[in-house]
Amino acid sequence: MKCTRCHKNEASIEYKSIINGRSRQENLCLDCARELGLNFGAGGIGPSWGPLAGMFGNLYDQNWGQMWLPGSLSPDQREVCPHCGMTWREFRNGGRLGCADCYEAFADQLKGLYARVQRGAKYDGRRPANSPSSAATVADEIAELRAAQALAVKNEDYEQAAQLRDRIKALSEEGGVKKNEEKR
Amino acid sequence: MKKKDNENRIVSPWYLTAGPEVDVAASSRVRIARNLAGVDFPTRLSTEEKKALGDRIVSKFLAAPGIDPKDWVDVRLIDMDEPGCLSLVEKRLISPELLQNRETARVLIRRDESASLMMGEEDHVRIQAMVPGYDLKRAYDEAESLAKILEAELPVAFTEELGFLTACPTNVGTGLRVSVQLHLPALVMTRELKVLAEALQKGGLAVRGDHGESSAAAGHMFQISNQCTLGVSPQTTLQELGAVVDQLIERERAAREALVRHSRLALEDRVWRSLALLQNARSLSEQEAVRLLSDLRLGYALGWLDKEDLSWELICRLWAEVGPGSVQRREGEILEPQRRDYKRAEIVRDLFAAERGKE
Repeated sequence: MKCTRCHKNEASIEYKSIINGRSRQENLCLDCARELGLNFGAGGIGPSWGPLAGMFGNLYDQNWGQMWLPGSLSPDQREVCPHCGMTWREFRNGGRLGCADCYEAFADQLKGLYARVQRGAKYDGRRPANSPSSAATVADEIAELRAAQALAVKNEDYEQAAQLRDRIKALSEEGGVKKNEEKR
Repeated sequence: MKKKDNENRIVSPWYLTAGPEVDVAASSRVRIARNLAGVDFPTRLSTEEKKALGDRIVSKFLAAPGIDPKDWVDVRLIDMDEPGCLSLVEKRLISPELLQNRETARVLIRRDESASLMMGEEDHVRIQAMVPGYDLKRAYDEAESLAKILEAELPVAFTEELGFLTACPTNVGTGLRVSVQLHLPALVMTRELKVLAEALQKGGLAVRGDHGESSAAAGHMFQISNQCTLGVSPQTTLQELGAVVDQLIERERAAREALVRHSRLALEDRVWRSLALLQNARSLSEQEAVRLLSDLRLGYALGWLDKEDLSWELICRLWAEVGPGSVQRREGEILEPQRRDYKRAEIVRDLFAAERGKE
């Protein structure tokens, strides 16, 4: 397919935009995309300070690091958060979610975002200090880690074993802190 | 802020002390974003709801075990004048974004200014801790301990899958932003920083002028911070950022050595001229003041200026006082730029004089 802007080069980018509520799709070649101010970061294509930057509103701020591929922004306007009524499109324009439930409502769309701006899609860290379920799950996690540690020692992977030991220690300490707080 | 609480003791601010690797690293900062469970994110809250939320967080936090309310100053930005608000931004106690929501914005500031809790930003609460020099672990532990105190008092939005939920998905997970403020004059002079910054950005780290302002670039102060909060543990985040900061510090030191080797006289001349200008100028723009202070910082780090010339504390104090917000706050009114520059020069001379008076 030829580029819908210069009609010369082969189009390689599907570019969707919404201006004044009207959605428009263009198939652009790399040269035209650059001219329109779409830049090419490590994570894909995003708006730079070119004339199109405004369309993305606050979605472009320096915290994003890497941008979304415009093609992946394909609007599915039927998606609405059942709790706060935020639409995916509204989020795209403002860059902020409306409530915690939005994460579930837009889970599919957000996965694409995590792939570009995050390191993965699974949390790696501690639980809240007062999470009621954390005691049981921490205990479970420690048991799992102990098993993995034993395996690592058996395989003579001492580096891995040491990492697991540190993790177990950290978790045990967190558990201790939690119990003390509960007693209060 | 101090006027209101003058019955309380005056505490020396954290930034007047030196920390690890202080010749290059000015400070380390950790910010943690949290939202309360069962409450919509700020975009969906009314002005009244935001105010009520601020009250709830402040009252719970100040009443929490381990917190002495006397250590904290509670500020509603709406009650504070423009220069006062600006000076809080300059001291990094609040973000510029918080200032945009001035009507509902609220901040708890620890008396030594080393920690603050911002309410009314894009998340319900943002906790931050700052320490002098390069000490990520200490800054992290400080911020974490405050976050845990808050979490023990109020239920926070959290899922096993995604971790701590934030208004912007770029912060979801740990909600953690770790940054080190580095003074990199030699890497700027040798033009190495531009290349380094590009490489770092590709590796998922952000390098930017402090506050993102031109004055900060004039002061050769740069902030390097992590970008990812999901799929990476806090420990790894700290380690990875630390590895890069280590390298930047080494490169800056090497560039300084090279500069001294090749053009010691020119550099020395520059440092001493800057000292003379600061001590004598009758008008100083922020940009010029910061540029001159950068030279002093470098001269001090190279051991050319000693205690008889000026103290490290004075350099840090001057740095904190030359911003437009701080200058106008001292004056208690909004000043025209020209008068502001006169006032700035006067403040700088007074601080030098006060230092001489101490001896």
